[in-house]
Amino acid sequence: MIFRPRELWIEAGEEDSAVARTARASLPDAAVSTFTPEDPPPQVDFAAGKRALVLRRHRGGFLQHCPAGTSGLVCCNYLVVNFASNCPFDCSYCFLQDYLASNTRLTAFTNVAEGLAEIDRTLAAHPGKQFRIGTGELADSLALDPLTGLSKQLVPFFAGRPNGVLELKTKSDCIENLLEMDPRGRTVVSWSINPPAVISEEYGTAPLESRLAAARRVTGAGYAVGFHLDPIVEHDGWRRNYDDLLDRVFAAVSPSDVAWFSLGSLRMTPALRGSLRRRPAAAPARRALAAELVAGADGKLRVWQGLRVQMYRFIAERIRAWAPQVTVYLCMEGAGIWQRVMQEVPGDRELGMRLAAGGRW
Amino acid sequence: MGTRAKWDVLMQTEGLEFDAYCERRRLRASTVQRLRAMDAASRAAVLSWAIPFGMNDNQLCDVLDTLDDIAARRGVGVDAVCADPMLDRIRVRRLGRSDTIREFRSALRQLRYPQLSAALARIEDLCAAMKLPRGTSLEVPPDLEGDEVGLTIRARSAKELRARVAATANALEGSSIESIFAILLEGGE
Repeated sequence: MIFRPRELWIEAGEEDSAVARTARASLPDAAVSTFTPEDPPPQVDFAAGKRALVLRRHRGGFLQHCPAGTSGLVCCNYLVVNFASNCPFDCSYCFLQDYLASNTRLTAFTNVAEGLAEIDRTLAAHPGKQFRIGTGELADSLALDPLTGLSKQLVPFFAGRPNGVLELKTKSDCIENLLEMDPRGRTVVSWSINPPAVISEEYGTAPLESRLAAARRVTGAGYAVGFHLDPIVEHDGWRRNYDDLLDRVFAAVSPSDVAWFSLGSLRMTPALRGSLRRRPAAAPARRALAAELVAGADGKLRVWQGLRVQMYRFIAERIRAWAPQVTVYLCMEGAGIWQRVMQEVPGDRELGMRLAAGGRW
Repeated sequence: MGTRAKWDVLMQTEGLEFDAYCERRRLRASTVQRLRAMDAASRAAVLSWAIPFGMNDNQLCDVLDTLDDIAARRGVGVDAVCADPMLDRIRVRRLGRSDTIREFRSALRQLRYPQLSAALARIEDLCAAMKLPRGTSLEVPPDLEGDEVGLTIRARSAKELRARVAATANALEGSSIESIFAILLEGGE
């Protein structure tokens, strides 16, 4: 399932970048327009923004700390590097609907070498520290890979870095480029997964079976895999459906190939809930809106905490039954929930080191 | 003939009632459009509550959102949600307009949050079983989203306060309070 936009916008001066050359070769029939920073592509709504691909230089830093590193949440010291913005998929609950509301254009950045140089400087400055760095914060890590070939630059780069682990996080099955490379244990390919009942509102993404088949194939090529049950969406029958999901995961991959599982409950701001209610009738957010979400002290909506704890416990216990050695962690949760679910509250550095040590490196 | 069937007939024979309601309550165009976009049975079911009890635009929008969420949760239409016996019981109580709307929205919230409502009901039962003395109340955080339980003891004299504190301490000796915390912090499993 490869995204094929009919329209390409390329920033003047970037036509010969590796990303632009690969995209043009991959999309010979696409209409190509050139633009300058002073005269950018016209602003369009969120849905239209996903239908064309913009290729331009990224201004500013590439590397950032994950947002979970703030406001009293237990942090795993994750870094995010943004080589793209927005995503061709249209998950009903996606926070980008609000976060990128004024910057909707699906964009791949062309100055990848500058981003890699920034990562290199960071890794070199702290040789005794292990870094986990992911590209899947503001974009799907692999959905555009058939068009940009970005993974062909990232995987070899990290293969030569002893203190950096790359995570490519996706809802796609676009793994062909990965199969041609040796990650040397430094790249984890991870999938955001959910029961089919929830995936039915992740519009445009690969079906669960395709994601799991892709996971099986990359393990055969030497990659470790990760799974993110995030967002966990509460719905009638969630126990049965998440149980079945984990059965399918472990039918597809061996526990020894899994680097980590993360669990994160569906959360949204009230503004995002408003956006979900205004989604087009053809692509509604029924499941996400129908979950038992209530406002917490920070104003964000989450499943009320007692039920959240029940869900986390149930899923974590099921994972441990299948894979007792695999690291399971909670995403965007505070110490209280961690203690009740995991019976521990690891420090940021400790959790980060544990995850960095959890794979094949 | 059931309530909704009666309303269908009403809509056919007195179609102007809908327009008059929209105008009387100054419904926004988007709300009117939303009602018109509903299937006939669901629209009739909603209007059978909205028109007789004169819901305003905000109330109606909130009700429509909640009904949509319940319908999505159950995989049924809005008309089927409106047929829930819990809602029928409100209608037969013949309360005033404001009380009816309040009770209706409260009942919808219970249907919208079935597990949370069940947890709150269990806490209420456990509180009752504790037999706290008069003037004493136990408060849990709104929507059970928080870690702390509050206890308020009111008294008109030092003697009364001492007596109520002692009776409260006695009431807290049982296991009910542990069960309440278990529901609050861990969902009660």
